Amino acid sequence: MRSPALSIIFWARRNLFATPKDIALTALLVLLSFWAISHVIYWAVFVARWDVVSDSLRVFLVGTLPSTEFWRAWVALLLVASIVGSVSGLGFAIRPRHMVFGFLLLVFLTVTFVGNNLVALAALSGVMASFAVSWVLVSRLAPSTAYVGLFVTGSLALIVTILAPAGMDRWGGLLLSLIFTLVSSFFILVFGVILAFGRRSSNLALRLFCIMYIESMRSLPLILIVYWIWIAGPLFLPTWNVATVTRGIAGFVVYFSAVAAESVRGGLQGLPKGQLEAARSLGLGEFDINYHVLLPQALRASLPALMGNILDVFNFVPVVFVVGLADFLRTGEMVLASPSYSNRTYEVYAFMLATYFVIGSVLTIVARGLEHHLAKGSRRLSELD
Amino acid sequence: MTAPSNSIVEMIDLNKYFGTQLVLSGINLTVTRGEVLVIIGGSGSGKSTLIRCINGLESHEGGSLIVDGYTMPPLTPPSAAGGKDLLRIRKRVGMVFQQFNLFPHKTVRDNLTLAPVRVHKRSPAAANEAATALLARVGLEAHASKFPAQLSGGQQQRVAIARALAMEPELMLFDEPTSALDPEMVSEVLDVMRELAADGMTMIIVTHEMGFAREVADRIAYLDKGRILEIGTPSEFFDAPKNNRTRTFLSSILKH
Repeated sequence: MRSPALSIIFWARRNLFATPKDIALTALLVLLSFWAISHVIYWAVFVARWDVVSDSLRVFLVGTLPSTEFWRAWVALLLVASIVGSVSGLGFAIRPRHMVFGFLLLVFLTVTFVGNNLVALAALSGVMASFAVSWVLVSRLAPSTAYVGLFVTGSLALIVTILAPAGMDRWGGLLLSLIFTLVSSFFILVFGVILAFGRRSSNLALRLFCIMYIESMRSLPLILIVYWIWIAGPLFLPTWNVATVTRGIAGFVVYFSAVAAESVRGGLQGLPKGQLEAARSLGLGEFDINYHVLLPQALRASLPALMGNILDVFNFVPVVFVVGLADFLRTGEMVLASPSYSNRTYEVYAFMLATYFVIGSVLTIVARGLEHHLAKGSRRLSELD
Repeated sequence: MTAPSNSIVEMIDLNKYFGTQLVLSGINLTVTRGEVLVIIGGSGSGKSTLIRCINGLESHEGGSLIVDGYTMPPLTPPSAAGGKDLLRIRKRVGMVFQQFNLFPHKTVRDNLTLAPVRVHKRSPAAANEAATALLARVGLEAHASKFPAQLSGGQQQRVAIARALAMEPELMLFDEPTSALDPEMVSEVLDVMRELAADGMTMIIVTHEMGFAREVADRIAYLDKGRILEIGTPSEFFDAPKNNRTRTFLSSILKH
């Protein structure tokens, strides 16, 4: 039995310093990272003036939503937290270290952003609590994935219902980015699955329609589709005054459904033919075969790709500036447009970068957990050696 | 539907092509209820294709095929577009595959209850009860909550048999059920099939297990290049084969 210190030395020699080339590469990358990180930290601590972020936090988070409607944003955030929490609960059992981390995060957020605003403090605690409670409930009770899906759908509908009276075109900032991503992702997954199965239909007309739809969408720029749907909406429905947000979401759904359909198709194509034959030999109808046998397996296989699609949706939301919506990135430009903050470009964009990074990472981690959850019953590579 | 006759499968002059290649040629075959028919033949002889025609996983191009009173028309697509009679036949005919083809995302119990609930519209409770009884019958009652990947090949194939039996079929088709198994697991699967035969289940079995065929079969058919060259009782077949090619085949597989 080797001492731990010796193990570390052996590990380092094997993984970092095996050959002269490795030594050079390791040294170069460590120096480069150290140089970059130290500069960033020095700038963030001593040079940057962060007052712009705390002063404009409202704009960043909710855009031009009037303060009388803030409670709607908080309730929506509460529901978003419980959606993320319940999906996390599927993949991760809750551990004490998660609690500790969550508590530290709450303290950090409070100290950084809330200051002495008691209402915001209470609301933020509520959001964190809603996240934690739904996580614990789902990981303890282990309900079937379908129930969690129903809960997510219901919460999404509730979020939209609660926020809509505030005036849909006044949603802005991070709130808009999040709601936009969640609502479009929901429809993208639904239509993506339908298109993927339509592409394999035995009905030639349906098959051709789906192929043409998918291929033409994938060959067009997203920004063009979003803009086109925005101007074309009133042409087709002159009497129905559809909110810009809805039209923007429609544009994303139209485009990304085709992308998601290709991800699902990849999963379907990987299924062994025997699955279909076994299901047929049991006398199952086509709907039951698709819904109970093929779809769950295809989704499991295509989940990494689909989660990548959803992350793309979130990262492409800034495209909605073409239809005049003020998403998170756009609010940064709005803040910088005011003369008092015009010299705070680095601070504002550093804040944006960090926020996108954190949300993207959370999405990725939750997706990993979900993959793990859906992969139960299948042999994973790690088990095969 | 005609009144239940004594024969469950009737093939008259059945033909089947893959592209331009004739894989089944003028098959005439009648299987009576309660009979165990074993089909043997070399690779590419069409034996798997023959039994896959019976539940419509393959379509035939010519001749007539009647299964349990329902006619399978020629050129029936294997999907549900094949029509009501195809689905009626599949409800009555169970099939066991070489590769088991269990649903990997469902537990053993859910594998057994899916079709009874969805197709026969059983209540989940009744289907669960039936599944428990069937698992006990194949000796796997302790594994109901496991996933297929947690079972050995022999156990998976026994689950696959139980899954087919859960539909209470009139006829069971076995397509080389032991060919994908490690040698030590073959007997546990054959034992289950023996018991089924003893219970009077009608079975059509494609297999290379000659000892098993001899012991269990009522009749053995030898298929070569899409034709039935010889059909008869095991003793006729093994002890006094009439056809030269049957003799060559038997000596080639019984030698080792």
